[in-house]
Amino acid sequence: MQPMIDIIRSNGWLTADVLREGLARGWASKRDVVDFALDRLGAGHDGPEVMRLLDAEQLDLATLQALLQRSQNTDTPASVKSPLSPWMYATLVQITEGRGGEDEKLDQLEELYASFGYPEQLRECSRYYVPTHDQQLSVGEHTESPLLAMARLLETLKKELSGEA
Amino acid sequence: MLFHVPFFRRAIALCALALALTLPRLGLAQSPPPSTQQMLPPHYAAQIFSPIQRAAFQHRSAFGSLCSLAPLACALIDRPFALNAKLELFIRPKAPDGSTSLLLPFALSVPILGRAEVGVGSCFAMAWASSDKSSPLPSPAASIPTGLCPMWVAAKGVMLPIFRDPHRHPAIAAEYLLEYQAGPFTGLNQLGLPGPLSKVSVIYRHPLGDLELSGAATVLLDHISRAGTLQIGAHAGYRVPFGEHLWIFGQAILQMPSWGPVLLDAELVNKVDLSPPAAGTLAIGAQQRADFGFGVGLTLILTKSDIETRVDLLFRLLSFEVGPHIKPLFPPKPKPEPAPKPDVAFHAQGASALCPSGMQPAPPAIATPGAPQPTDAVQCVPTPPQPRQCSPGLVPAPPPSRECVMPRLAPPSPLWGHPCEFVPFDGSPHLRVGRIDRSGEYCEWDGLRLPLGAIIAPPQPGRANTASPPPNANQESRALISPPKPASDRHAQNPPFAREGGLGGKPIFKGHSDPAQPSSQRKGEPERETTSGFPSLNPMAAGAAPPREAAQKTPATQDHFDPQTASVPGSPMASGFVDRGKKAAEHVGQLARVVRDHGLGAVVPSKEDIKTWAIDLKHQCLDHMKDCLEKKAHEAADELNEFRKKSPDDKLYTVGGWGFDAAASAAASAVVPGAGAVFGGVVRTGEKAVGKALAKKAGKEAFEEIAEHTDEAAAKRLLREAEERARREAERRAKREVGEEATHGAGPTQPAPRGLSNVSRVGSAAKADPHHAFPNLVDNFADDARRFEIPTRGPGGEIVRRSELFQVEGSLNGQAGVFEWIVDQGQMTHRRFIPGGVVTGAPNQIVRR
Repeated sequence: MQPMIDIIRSNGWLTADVLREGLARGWASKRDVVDFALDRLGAGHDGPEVMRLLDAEQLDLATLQALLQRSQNTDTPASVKSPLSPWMYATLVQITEGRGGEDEKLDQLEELYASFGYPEQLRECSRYYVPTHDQQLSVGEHTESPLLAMARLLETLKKELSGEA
Repeated sequence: MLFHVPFFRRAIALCALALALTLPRLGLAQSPPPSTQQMLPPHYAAQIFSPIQRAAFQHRSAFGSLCSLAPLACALIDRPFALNAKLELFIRPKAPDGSTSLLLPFALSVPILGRAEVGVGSCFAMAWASSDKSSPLPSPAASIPTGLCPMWVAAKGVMLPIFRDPHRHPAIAAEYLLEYQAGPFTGLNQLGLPGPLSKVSVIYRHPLGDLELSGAATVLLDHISRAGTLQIGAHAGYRVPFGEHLWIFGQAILQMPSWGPVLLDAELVNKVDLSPPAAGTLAIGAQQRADFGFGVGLTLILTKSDIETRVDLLFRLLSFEVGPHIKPLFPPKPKPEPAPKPDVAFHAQGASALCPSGMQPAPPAIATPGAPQPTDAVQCVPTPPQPRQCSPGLVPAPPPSRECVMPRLAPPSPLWGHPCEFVPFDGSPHLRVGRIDRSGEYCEWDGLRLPLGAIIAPPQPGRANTASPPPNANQESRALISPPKPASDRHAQNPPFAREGGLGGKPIFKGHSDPAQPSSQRKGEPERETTSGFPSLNPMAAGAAPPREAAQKTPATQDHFDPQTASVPGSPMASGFVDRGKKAAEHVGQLARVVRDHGLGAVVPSKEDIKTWAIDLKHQCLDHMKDCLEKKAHEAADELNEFRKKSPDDKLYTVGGWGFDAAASAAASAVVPGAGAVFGGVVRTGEKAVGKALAKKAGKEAFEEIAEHTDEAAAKRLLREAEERARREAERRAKREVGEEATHGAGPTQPAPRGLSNVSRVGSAAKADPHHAFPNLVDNFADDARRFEIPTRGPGGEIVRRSELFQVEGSLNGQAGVFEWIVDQGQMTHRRFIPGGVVTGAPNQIVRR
């Protein structure tokens, strides 16, 4: 399974903000920060913050957060409006590509829902979600599949982050 | 008018005389006016000795039968009447003038009722010159006198206190002593002058048990020359704890100022200063006071004056006292009774040596009466067992073994592992507080150990040494919470309680009582027994607990020692306290809230076990039920306060001081004189037949027992208040339930389960952030949560089951919202606080702001 950071990087959505968010939530490591600094250096950005980020593994998290905040890209894609969105996309990709069964994926979706603070866009992916008028549905009746809602959200997110929406 | 004129004349004349005697002569050896010498008798100057010789007469022991063998006047007077006689020896070993002098003071005195004393006395003085010719007497013409001193008469009386016992309270006394030359008593007075002398003293005495402190001011005045001095001194005496009336003491006396005339010796053409030298004196001594008996003493007196430094020895050679003493003033220390010697005749040659090991010679009484006694045979009997000293943690093995063994565990209580509850006396629903330990005497709640039967009183603001209100005990999220409120009762004053029924008696806080966790161990305390703990091997534990408890310190889950789970002081396992301490502190907070809102309550077994426990308790406490309950109340208060203080996280909830305290014991005395109310409180909450029957019986018993006690009025009042509160609570709940029915109808709601801490958390419910891991305290209010059945989808969108959604409104960190959780297939899969949320019946509502 491809790491989340690689999914984000491969799509060109890895900015200092996104990395900072991932670092804060434990989805990115200091090593990822060094790689990010190397990428920036390769792209011709050799500001003092980038040079210091090269030494990320020796710095504490607070310092890294401050450096990342100061080294925001000038070429940040305008489509990445929320630094959380790339991570949500990457997580959904991981769940989709994961080897677990469908029930397990539902569990993972529940956790994802909670991890991102119950965003409205993930609401329909929860197994406990049913439209208000369907609250009295009995066992055996059908509603939309949470996994289908997840696939639809993936597409939506990709379009948004790619600026196609 | 005619009457007043002579009175004023006399008063003015007396004042003038006093001034003439004192004021012009005050100071350090002030010289009198030239006219003074003219007033002295003829040849007076010829009788005056040198200052050093005069100084030899300076000190006597104080007047009084109970005074210390030292110069300072004392305020202690014997009682009721006695004749006191004493003979002393004053040795001035070697004065700077080369002389050695002896003084043999003797006196008789009669104390009167402990408040006054009169006496007479004198002394015999003798001195001889040293053989050391290098220090000739300065005045060879004046031979050192040998003979009787002047006679003195003295009286003293206690002025204060008037009504209280002056021996046991601070006292002030005054003393007057007059030395007068008459008959054979023609010697020199205490100032070394050949005239009468007055000595006036004012004394203050302060008794402090076996210690006495006193101070005195004394003026000595020679009547002819008007020479005199002021002595101010302090005294400290201590009655040593051995012997009878044996005291050690010390005195410090300052002699200054002094005054007196300066005479002109016509023959030697020298000036003779009659003023006593300024001096300081230290005296230390030991004395057996003659309190209805004989006394002796020895005092060492060091005097440093402007003319010499000397050491005097003062012996009390003999002192005795006879009189109608009823009792000694200072009762003698009780003497241990000498052990009666057994009247047993032993054979010569050491009969015991003839008996084998473990046997001893039989006493003669054992021998068969009438049987011929062999004169040289020794009958041996087994040596009676002696008390054995065992190492800490071990106990003597049963005879005949003489070894020390590990203590065997007492059989567990039949109540072991059964649930225990806290029952408010106001009739409110009870709170499940853990399980009964192996001894059957304690309720164990995650390390919080509360005696069954303990009355717990509400925390008292300002009583604890930490400044905090009842903790909300959010140990996991470390967030401030307020109690969740039921949707229909958001403004209710009292937080809701767990109700009877629900999950079928499952413990509300079972989730906290993870048996895998190590038992708690507190620093400096005996190891505690927990439901997962093991009996203490620490001897302190046995010492701290009642014998029965100590004997029954056993594991709750198994009977063998398991080093993996045993908590040994100082071992790494003791660190397990950190986590369990948090849980215990959390429970303390829960209890605090309940007793704060509902008043007194008791920790008791559940109603199914109350009868068994009550029988055991009554057997245990017999006729001192009140003391039993008071003890339990104290123990519970200590336990709660201790955990309250030990939880570092409680500081998160601090606002003002509070603390459980021993007010509980007063409550135990007043409310439950016969423990009837304890049982009554329990069964009032019961709804089944057994509960009702017990309630009727116990309630009746409680009132009957209360009526028999002196606390009747207070107890009845408290019980009436409790009944009234219970009635109001019932009405309030009834109204609320009716309101809910009206609002929601039968709807989807059903009786809520009891507590949720026994439901394992998985998925997002196990997250540790504050909005997910809101405190377990919320679980206590599960009964007040609205319960909904919600459809649960499978991966394909099909409704595969219905899960339970619980919602209860409350606040977290001061922000109002709704606590919600989902129990899905027996597991808590969702647990969340939604700021601004309300009860909706659907999870994860979107709050529009």
